[in-house]
Amino acid sequence: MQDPSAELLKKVQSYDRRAQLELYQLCYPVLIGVARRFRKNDEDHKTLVNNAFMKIIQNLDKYQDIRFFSWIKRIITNEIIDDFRRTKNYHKLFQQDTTLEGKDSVHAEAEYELNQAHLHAMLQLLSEPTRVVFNLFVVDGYSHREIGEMLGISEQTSKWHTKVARKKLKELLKIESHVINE
Amino acid sequence: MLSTNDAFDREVKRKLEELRSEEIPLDFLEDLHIRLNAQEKKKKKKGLFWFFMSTLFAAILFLTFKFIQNNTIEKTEIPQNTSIQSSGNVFVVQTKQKVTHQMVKLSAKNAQVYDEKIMATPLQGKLKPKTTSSKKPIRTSRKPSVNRVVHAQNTEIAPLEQLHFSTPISLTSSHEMVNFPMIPEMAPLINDFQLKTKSTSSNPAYPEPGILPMEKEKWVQTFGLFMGMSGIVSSVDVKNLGTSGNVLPDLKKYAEIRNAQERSTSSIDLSLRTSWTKHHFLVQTGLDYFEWGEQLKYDYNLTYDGVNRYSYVSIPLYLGYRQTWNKVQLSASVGSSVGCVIKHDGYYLQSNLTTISVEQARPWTSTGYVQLELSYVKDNYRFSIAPTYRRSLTPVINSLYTTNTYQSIGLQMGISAILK
Repeated sequence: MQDPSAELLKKVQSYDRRAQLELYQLCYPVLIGVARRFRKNDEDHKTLVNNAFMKIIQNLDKYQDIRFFSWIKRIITNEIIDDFRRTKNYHKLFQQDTTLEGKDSVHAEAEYELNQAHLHAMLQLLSEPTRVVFNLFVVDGYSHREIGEMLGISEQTSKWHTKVARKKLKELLKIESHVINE
Repeated sequence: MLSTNDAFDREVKRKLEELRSEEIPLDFLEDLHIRLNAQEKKKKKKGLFWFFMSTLFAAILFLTFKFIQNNTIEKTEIPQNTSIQSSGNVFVVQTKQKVTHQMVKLSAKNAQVYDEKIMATPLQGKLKPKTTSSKKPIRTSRKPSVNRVVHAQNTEIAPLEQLHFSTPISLTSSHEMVNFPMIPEMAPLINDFQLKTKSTSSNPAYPEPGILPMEKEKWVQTFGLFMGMSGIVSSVDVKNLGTSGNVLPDLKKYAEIRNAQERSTSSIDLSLRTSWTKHHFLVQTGLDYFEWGEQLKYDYNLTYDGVNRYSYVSIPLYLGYRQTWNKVQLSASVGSSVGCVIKHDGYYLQSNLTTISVEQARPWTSTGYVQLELSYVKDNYRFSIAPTYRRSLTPVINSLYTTNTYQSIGLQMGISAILK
């Protein structure tokens, strides 16, 4: 995917409505992809995507030297994390989740094929803290230390959530492949 | 086949990052348009804000310049025999400066200089004339706004370099004032002085009490800059929605939660003020910048900390009463203003008690004021402190179920130039 032209970005900065909509069309697939990984309902997706887009056009003057789509991914990820941290007592969510799941780190090994739509659906079956940590670690490439700092949890908790997510996803994929085979 | 964690992670990442081209839903676009329109409006309002700030800056510069100008004392050494040319008994005062508030008394024996400050004090018994030697050059301050009374002995009178008369002043005898210049503003002062001094000393240079015409009292105008801080208290009220209350959420509880979790915050107040006073009557107007808002500490179904601020530029009109004791003035005034919002977005807990959404302040607001002002007058300046109570007369936020009103108490400090 090619970065938008400098001319387009300049027009966006000068509040040209057509250019703003053109940029929105370019950014939308990336932004909605990230929003869907983290959140379940459409209303949340709309708020997150549009909040992020407004931040993008307000901060275009700060954008430089990196790939445009990496930059906007970072913006929407930060928006999602901020939003998650605003959830009441989100720290407790991590603790409750840990208590319920136990410390089982045995991974189910199986043969499965990944399908994007199914993966999105399966991600939504994970608890919110597990989904957030898994997305940040596996897809967005943050280290456990960075995730710990962002969410105010320990490195170990971040690792534990990643393991739980992997295990659950593998189980779900296994069940799905059984269903398809039968 | 994916057997290791890394391989699994890579595959998940690849799949999740695959982009699918899809139609943008209509509601996404509608929401975007609303936000972009709001941003555009905000940009326009920013222009208004900067106009106000630059006006404020210009006013500060103007006041500072005037203050410095009036307080700079330029000492000039004046040689003898240069200011007044003598021709027999006629003195001609030559100067390039225009003098409007000056008075000359020429007497044959003394050369004395008083400035206006001293001239004011002798009437209260503090007159101490500076006697100067006619042989030494006289140092004097060049202050165009300062009134002077000069007693001159003979032709060697130097300090008259600021005086200007259209007609020559003639001296006929040693203790007689001839062609006494008529300055209307000085008339009450001189009459008063004559009344007080008549029993103890008689100065033939002054006319008899009451012979100078008294001038009618005029409007006194001031122009000043005020700055201060206020503490704002917000109040959420449930609208009266009639009988449809059965299907509405629990609005009483909603209002209670909001009133408890929306706390007071502070605001910056800036004002450019101009006032007119006659007798004790005071009229005041200008340009105000002030804020309404609240601090949010939501901790119900969600936690959210933040501050809402709505900024306004308004034009107030005050009517009041001013009492003066020597250099101290006390004014009490009430007024109202019409204001235009320049920052209007705020975040509030919604009636479902689970979401926070943006609400916009109404574009116009009216505000009521009660103000006390204590001032000290020095030269042509008034230094004031003004405790002010302010209250929104119309709701600032008009939501579906609730309205927000605000009130504040604050203290402003300011400096005003007295423009006569």
